[in-house]
Amino acid sequence: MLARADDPNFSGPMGFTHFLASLRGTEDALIDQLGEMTLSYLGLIALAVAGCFETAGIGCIVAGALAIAGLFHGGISAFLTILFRVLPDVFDVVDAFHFLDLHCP
Amino acid sequence: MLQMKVRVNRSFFYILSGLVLWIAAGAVPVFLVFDRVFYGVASALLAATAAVLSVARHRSPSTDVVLLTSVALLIGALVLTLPPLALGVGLAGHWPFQYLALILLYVVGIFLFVAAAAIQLRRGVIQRRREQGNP
Repeated sequence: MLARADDPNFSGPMGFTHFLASLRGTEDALIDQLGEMTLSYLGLIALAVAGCFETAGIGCIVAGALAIAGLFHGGISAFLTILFRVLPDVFDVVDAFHFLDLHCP
Repeated sequence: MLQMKVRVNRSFFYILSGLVLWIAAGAVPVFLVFDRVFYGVASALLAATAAVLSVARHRSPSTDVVLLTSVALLIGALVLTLPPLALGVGLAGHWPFQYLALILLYVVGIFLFVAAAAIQLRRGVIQRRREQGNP
């Protein structure tokens, strides 16, 4: 389905472009959380295979703790973002396009 | 029990290296597509470093590893599967199946690498118990 940019059901006071903006915002937040999680995990595994934990130095312990915290914070927040922000926003946009499809054949 | 060291053979580190590369292969393109250049480049560098170190530092046929650290790394890899799995399940009825198949492939790949590494660790634990006289 194609929607014209000047369609009043799409843009303007009665439109749903705010749904699209909201979805873009949640996508950005999600990608940042996934980045935090992935970077933390790869950093942690790099520390481990480099033998950092065997030395048990204070720098290694701090880096490891930060990586673990980042991994779990990023993972849990990304999971919650998907459930409570991304999915509702996607469904809003899908419903809005469905409405447009029905009313603007 | 988790603080004990177990002996694993070289393939454990190849599996670990493969796991890291698999995760990076799934994540880096997503970061670059969404203009997260820092995350993309840093993830690629860290993954390459970890993968090379993993193989290069453990050339002997068998090495002792700390069970706690190894288990924590494998659990960490499973945490990475949670968001894509939630996205795939939540959007199953709305996304083209090609996207869902890619997500599933990524998640199943991580599970397979983790399972293979866990089997290696389990062998090490059994061998350790035998050496201590506890079958």
